[in-house]
Amino acid sequence: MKKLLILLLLTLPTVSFAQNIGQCGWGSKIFDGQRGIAPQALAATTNINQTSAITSGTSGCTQDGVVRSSWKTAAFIDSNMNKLARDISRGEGESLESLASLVGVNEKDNALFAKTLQENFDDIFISQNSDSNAVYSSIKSILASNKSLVEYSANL
Amino acid sequence: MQICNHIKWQEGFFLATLVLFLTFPQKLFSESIKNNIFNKVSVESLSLDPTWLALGHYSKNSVLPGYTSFIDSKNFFISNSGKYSPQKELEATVNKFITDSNYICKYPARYEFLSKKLPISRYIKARECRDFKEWLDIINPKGVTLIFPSSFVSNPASAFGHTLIRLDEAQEDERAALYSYSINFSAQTYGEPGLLYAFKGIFGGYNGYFSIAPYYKLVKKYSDLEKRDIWEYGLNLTKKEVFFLTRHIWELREVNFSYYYFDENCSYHLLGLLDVARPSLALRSKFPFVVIPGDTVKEIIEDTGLLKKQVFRPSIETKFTTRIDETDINIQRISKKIIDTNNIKVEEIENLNIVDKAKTYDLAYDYLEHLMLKDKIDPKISDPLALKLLKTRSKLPYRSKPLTPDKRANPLDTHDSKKISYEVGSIKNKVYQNLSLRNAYHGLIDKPDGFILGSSLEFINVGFRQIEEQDLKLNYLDLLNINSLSQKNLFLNPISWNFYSGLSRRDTKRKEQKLVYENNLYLGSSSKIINSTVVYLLAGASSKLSNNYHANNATGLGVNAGLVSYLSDKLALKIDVKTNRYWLGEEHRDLNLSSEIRYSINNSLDLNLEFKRKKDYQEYFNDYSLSLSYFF
Repeated sequence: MKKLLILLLLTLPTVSFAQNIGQCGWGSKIFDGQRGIAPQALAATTNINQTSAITSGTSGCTQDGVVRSSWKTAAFIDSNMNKLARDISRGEGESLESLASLVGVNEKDNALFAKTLQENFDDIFISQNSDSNAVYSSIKSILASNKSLVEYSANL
Repeated sequence: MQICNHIKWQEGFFLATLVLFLTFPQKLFSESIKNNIFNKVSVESLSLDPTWLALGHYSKNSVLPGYTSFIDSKNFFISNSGKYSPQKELEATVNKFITDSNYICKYPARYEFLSKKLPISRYIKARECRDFKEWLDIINPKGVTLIFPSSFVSNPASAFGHTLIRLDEAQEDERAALYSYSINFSAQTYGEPGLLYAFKGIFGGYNGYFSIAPYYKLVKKYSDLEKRDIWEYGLNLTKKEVFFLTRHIWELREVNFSYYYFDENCSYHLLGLLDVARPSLALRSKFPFVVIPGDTVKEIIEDTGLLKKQVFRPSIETKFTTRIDETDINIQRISKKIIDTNNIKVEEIENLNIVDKAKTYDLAYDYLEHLMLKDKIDPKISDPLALKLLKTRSKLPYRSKPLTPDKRANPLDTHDSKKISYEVGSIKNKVYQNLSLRNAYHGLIDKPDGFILGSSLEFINVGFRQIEEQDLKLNYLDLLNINSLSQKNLFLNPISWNFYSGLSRRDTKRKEQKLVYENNLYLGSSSKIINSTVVYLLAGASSKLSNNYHANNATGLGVNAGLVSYLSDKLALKIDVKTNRYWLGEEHRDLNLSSEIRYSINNSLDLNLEFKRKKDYQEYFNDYSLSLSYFF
């Protein structure tokens, strides 16, 4: 019985769970990525840094160094909070286009997608302490409440 | 107690092995199977197949016969002598594939290669490698792009650049670039302090490894934090080759390589990866000595026909300066005022139309972002201001237009870095000839394509001169000559500087010119007056050493001003005035006024005409010359 339950849990599509980015150990605030960590001149020149090798095995929301598919968009939002805020306010920019691509927005809906998020900027980035989890869910609900974009909200 | 525990552990181990042995009898790799497998193929020749050598990162020993792998991790090799023997490793791999199918999932690229060359599949039960398959599905590679973050603007020491690759999820859709995975080679340092870091980096002592991360993380590091422009070269690899490469990357999990800054560096090991994708390229063997990332880019792109398309990704700083250039000066002033006064409702903005308002806020935000990245503003001020700016901006129903930055500094456009010159001239009305050789890399008046405007670095430039019937003598030995003329604008006021260190033949109190060792450092400011003309004004200190000076030295202060203008593709002009006053040691003044015109006959041949009016010690004299230079 226990085995059956586990099997069931494993095979259930992950999208049906309400996602909480915090569970992956993420949850950046908007301007977190914006602090100038002055690059160590030498680290840059010799391309020596402190990241780690490709690991083997699963941890959190990653497997063998890559983010599991169901967390892909969440991971993108979490790492690109400041760029998304900037690009959404302008209705233009690469991070916005990548988000559209991750959510599966068709070419014809691209402009509407950008415009809708721009118009709802205040609801997505409520305060400077809004974290990626809040941003993720508000984008999802904004898409869900727009008749022409509702189909994409399921991809988040 | 301890001994007891020890014995218990041994007993336990013995029992466990016994149980394992009894319950899972190992399939034996019998001699007859071995003979069947290697029936038609010689193990030795197969183990020297370029694909097998690439998969093991083997390289031919330079003195002794045989091969050695660059991989240090023991767990990468199945055979104990695998690091030194491609053949033993191949035999051990085949053996393991047949006796333990877990190894097929650990080495999917080796398996693909060997199962094509040898009849091993009939001895192996087909199995699915679930973890590997999931991993591959996530990466979903369709193409490979070579990534070249170019050198730092403000740090000539990093002039060498860096290279990595990206496994593209969608080849045609550029929107997928940011979230595709990239493979980067770097050294593991455990946060050791600067000097030890440098020492170990250069002389060995670090391990290097490949890491995998979504490309947006790399863009954040190189483009935002380090402000390096990035060039991306889409490569013409087949889908099969891309998959084979990705399979091999799986084999490199937790695998360490030897790392040396100059030769076995990031670019070198990256070449090794591309050699796996297409062994016939044999890229690694083309760089037996020092590996300069920019040169590897040229090699990969130019000599292999692998280039499919190029994309320029401007750094955050380049985007900012482009936005400044693309914005009207009045709007620039309002944007700056918003940030400087921490007030988004400055009165000047009220009269602007929607588009201009949007442009004002966009530039203001870019400026604020610049200050934040440089830690020049308190987060308590910047964060609320930034959010207010973005909220206000989002109310304007206008989509900003994409920027169109100059596609500069493409490493493919650069001239070669070594230069040999022959010069004829007249000094103090005496005819001379001069032969010089520059080891690297770029002079201020050289063809600027592919370099950052106003920056140059020359490393070891040696010249020999013969005046009339005299002997040929060392005329100069420039050790290092750097110009970093970053131009200022309304928002940015970077320090411009130049540094010179070298020997040159000069007037002293002796009758004939003598060698003087000179060091100069000047700091100041520069700006772009028209599109490709930079003017500069610098001041600093100068020190000269010579046994023909009083107390063997002369130390003083000086100024340096000038202009460099790239008039057309072929023509450039440089005017430079430098004068120093020396108070310590040998008291004197010097002056050097030079004007130089460069005409490029083609990409590797330059003609230079130069006129100098000089005073080294007491007497003024003229020096005219005409030189022909060849870049190679």
